[in-house]
Amino acid sequence: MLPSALLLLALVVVPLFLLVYFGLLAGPGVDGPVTGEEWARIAGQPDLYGRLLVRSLVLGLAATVLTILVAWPTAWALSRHVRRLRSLYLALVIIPHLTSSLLLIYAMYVLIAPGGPLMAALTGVGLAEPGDTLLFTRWAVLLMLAYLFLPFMVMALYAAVERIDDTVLDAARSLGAGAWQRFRHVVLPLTVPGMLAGLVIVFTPAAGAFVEARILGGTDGMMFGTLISEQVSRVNNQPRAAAMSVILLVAILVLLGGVRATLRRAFPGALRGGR
Amino acid sequence: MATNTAAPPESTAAPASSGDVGGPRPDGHGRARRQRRGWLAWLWLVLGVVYTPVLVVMVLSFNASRYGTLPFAFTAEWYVALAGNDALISATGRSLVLSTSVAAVAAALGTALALWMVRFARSGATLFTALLTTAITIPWLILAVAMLLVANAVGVGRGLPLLFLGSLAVAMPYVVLVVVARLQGLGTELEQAARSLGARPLTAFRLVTLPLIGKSVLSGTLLAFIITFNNFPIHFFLAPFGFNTLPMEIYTFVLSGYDPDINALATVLISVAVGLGLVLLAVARRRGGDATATSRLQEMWG
Repeated sequence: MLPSALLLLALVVVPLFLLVYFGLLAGPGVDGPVTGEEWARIAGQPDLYGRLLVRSLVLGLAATVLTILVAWPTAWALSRHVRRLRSLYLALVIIPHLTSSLLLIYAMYVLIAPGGPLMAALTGVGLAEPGDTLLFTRWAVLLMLAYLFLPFMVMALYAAVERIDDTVLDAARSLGAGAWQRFRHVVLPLTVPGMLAGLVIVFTPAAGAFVEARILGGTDGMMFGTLISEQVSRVNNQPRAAAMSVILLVAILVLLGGVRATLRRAFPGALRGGR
Repeated sequence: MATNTAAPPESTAAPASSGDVGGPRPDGHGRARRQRRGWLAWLWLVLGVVYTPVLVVMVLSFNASRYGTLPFAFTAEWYVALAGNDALISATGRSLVLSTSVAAVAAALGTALALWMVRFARSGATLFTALLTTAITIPWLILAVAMLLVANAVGVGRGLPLLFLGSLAVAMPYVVLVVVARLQGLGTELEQAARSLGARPLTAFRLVTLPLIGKSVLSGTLLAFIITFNNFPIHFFLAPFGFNTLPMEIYTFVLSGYDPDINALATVLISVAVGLGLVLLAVARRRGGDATATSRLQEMWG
């Protein structure tokens, strides 16, 4: 317990707090005097930093919504319509994601490349012009993030759907609730905690992503995280990377809190006594 | 787990279901079967989407064209090229060594911490749970940058010790959470029974508790291995220059575009993952238990 505590303290807690301090230093290293000039520089370029921050948050939210839309019916189908092969289906959804995510990013790159299989198919059915491509756009990044984090959402929602007692549905039916009413007023509110758990484990890494955007996004799909990583790996402006990390982290936490509060208001009672 | 799937409640989300009144329906049976077929079709559609990029790469790994162009002509030369690609092979070796050692240490430290949290910690447990959840939910990019900057400030910089410790700090919380979930459902009665029969604390732990939590320790270790193998941001910022892990090596290859060697590598690795996953599943099934890996993951996320 002591070594574990020291490890987490020294490598997670202390570094996260020190980020605030590092952000105030004068670059390029982390040994300069405290000036706060990087904050001033970041604030002075809202068209770059603000725009990319908003894009990261929007991409993260959009990816979360997309995964919910796909994962909800999947979780329901797994929980209510498959019995014997359930673990097999679940495993099949998860397994490709147990290899390196870089391989999956590469696979998506090949799939959506100009002249690649997806574009060829879309052109074939007349949905795209020859020469069109998704690659190096923000749509490619969105697709990738949703693809990468889909299994997490499936597991979070599956756990929530699995817990719904069938007698509750029978009760609603015997009281005259139709299929839509049962969904809207019984089933959906009961899965809100699952959606919230999914939100945390999908939105946070998605909004903090950088490799996906670096490989698939081009300039159109550049994210805040990409900029952070380049401050460290190329530009070597470590205080700015620290300040930007603080901004991203705070933005993610604020947005998570906001969505949570909104859901709480939209589904009163759904989160009572919950996590 | 409730497993009544024979009589599914009407699809609540399916657009096809017309919201009728309750009560017995004349053709309830055929209707339920049709609905079930619809849900299965959706499952297969999702699986199709998940496997499309993977299958495309697998097919192209046997295509003769260096640029992935059609028409398709069969070849195995990319596998021969992969076997001779020293950069990729030594990177795979480095990744395996790193992930195995991190997973082993994470298992030992994580299990100890989990035991302490459940058995001995009074108020500390809540604090630790908060700490562990924080460690899990911070984006890896931000964690990696924070660790690197601290290492730079201290004067250590990138290096193997930092890479190892950073990977460990990210992976260990997952082991703890998986084992804690199991321990909380266990209680201390059996261990106390062993103690009252004269077993020393360590013997009681070894003979009673460890076998009971063994499966969850194993799942946690597996999870730690996968996470470490996969953790590109930590590798990218903490690994010493010249020590490229597999994800880093793939990253440099991918930045230069389409590469048939990577197709072959992806095919091999994904086949291994699918094969291993299915074997583990079959073993878990034969033992009559629930599918361990997935159910533990659910416990964690749920």
